[in-house]
Amino acid sequence: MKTGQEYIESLRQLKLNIFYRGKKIDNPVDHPAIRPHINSAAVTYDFAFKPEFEDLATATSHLTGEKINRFTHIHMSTDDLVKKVKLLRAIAQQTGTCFQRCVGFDAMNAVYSVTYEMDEKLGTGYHAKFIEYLKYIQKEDLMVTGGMTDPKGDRGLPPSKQPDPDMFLHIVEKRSDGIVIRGAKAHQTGSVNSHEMLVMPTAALGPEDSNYAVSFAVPSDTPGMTYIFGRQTNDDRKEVAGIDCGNARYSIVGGEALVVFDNVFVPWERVFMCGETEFAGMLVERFASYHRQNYGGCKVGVSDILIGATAASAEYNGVEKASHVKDKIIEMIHLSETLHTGSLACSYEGRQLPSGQYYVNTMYANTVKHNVTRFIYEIARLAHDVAGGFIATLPSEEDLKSAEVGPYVEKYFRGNENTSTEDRIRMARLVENMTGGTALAESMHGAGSPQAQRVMMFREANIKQKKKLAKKLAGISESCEEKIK
Amino acid sequence: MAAGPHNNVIMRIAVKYCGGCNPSIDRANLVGKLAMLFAETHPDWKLVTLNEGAYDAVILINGCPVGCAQKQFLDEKRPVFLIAGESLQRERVSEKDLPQEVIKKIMNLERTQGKKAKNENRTGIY
Repeated sequence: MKTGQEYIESLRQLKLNIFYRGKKIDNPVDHPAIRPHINSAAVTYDFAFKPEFEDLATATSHLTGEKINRFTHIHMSTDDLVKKVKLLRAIAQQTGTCFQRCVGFDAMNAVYSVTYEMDEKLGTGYHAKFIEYLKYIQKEDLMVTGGMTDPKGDRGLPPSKQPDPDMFLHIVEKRSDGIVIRGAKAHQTGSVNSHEMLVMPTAALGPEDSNYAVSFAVPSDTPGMTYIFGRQTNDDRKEVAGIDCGNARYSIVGGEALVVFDNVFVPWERVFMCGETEFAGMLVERFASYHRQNYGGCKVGVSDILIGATAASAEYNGVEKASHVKDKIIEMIHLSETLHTGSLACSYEGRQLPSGQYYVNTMYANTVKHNVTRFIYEIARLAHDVAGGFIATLPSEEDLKSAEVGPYVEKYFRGNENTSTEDRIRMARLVENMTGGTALAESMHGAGSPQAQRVMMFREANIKQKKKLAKKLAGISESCEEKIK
Repeated sequence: MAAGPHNNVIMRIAVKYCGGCNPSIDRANLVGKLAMLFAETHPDWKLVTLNEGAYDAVILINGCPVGCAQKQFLDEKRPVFLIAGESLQRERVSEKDLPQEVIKKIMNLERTQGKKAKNENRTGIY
């Protein structure tokens, strides 16, 4: 296993083609816009070496029997699923933001299961190849980013009907030694600081879209790959990395990028789906459900910090004893812990797949992610309510430390007399950081937009059975209905 | 108690943490305080990890009352000291007092074991 520092140093060996604000970044590891996200991912490595977290942060590989970082593990029991959720909460309590590594974790579990079932039905040889790849990832303890979301162009059209065929990532050439890929993957969390990228289709596909049914893995610095790193709320504050950042060490969300594939070559040994459209939907659903499981883990850890920041702000403002303030903090706790119970439930209610690995209860996984699209906004709203409007109007750290106006900032931004103005400002900046635009939008759309979860919930709810139950209680017999018809 | 070439160490006490998903106590800080107190007051006691081999007793350091670390010690034959949030052996103890209370329990164990046969087959939570 790698330590956090070894992970960071290993990134220096990669030669990624990254652009940010119109310029190529030659040294992403030390770039102020990217480094905080690297620091956050590094925590996933360090946790494996901390005795007080290793029970969650490590696992025993079912392939090799070796002790491995849990983020490279295949879930072999419901206990593994539960430990995943608990691990995400524990790490988020330290970082206060996304640590990115779950995406590849979920992608590996999804591809592992689907390649097994694909081989069973179609006689393809993907699973054995994927196992070899997985052993390599486990041995080297690599960070993998999972690539699912395509740009999608006209959302009303399937991939093959798009005016621009590159709106969905696709195979442009099949050669004797591999395939050539063109297109892009959007919103790729942790992609600029991952060693590998594991790509999957973005949606269920029909036979006419066979060139879009593709899954493969490539090193993140493969020729033809370009990363365009996204802007975040207040990201120019990272250049100073002081109080105004709020969370200077770990920043906001995961550091997302648009990853462009311009005729990227993938050798056959790293291809895990190539044209098997009937399995594209299964792969999407597996990945999405594993990923939706996470949100009552990491977002709850983040909320633990936000609840703490809100309670501390109330104290600094001298209003911690007001009953309505206490009630709002209770509501934040209620919402957060409700999310956690959802993620634990979908893990405890997990089931075994044909491959032998374990899979979450998909109804509960979708329910918890759907709740995240609402509850995290409400938690943030309550934090704003209690912390006060000054989180949006505070002067800069430079003003606080200015010889001319610093004394005014010190005097007029003071709360109760037991708290320094600087501490009050620091806490307010943390609240601002955790509840600003980028942080909230991720809760809405990360792991799929709310409508995607509603579609799955309706599909799995067995409405027919619910109607049958209702009719029985209402004294309506099926035979009477049939007669009327 | 423990056999083997441990110089002046008479009792080796293993520490096992839970996973730490949502601890209500600072577990690492607690173990740090125990190590310090052992060194100051009981140099013949030594905290060890489970990987270090032989031990005479084990302290389970759980961050909350659920006590996940206990699962793998349900059949433990050696004395088990269960910390689960602000509790010791399921009795309420504040975080501040936990180190001293653990020491009292270990001293009590020493006394008991001194009076009884060394190889008494005591099981489970002490």
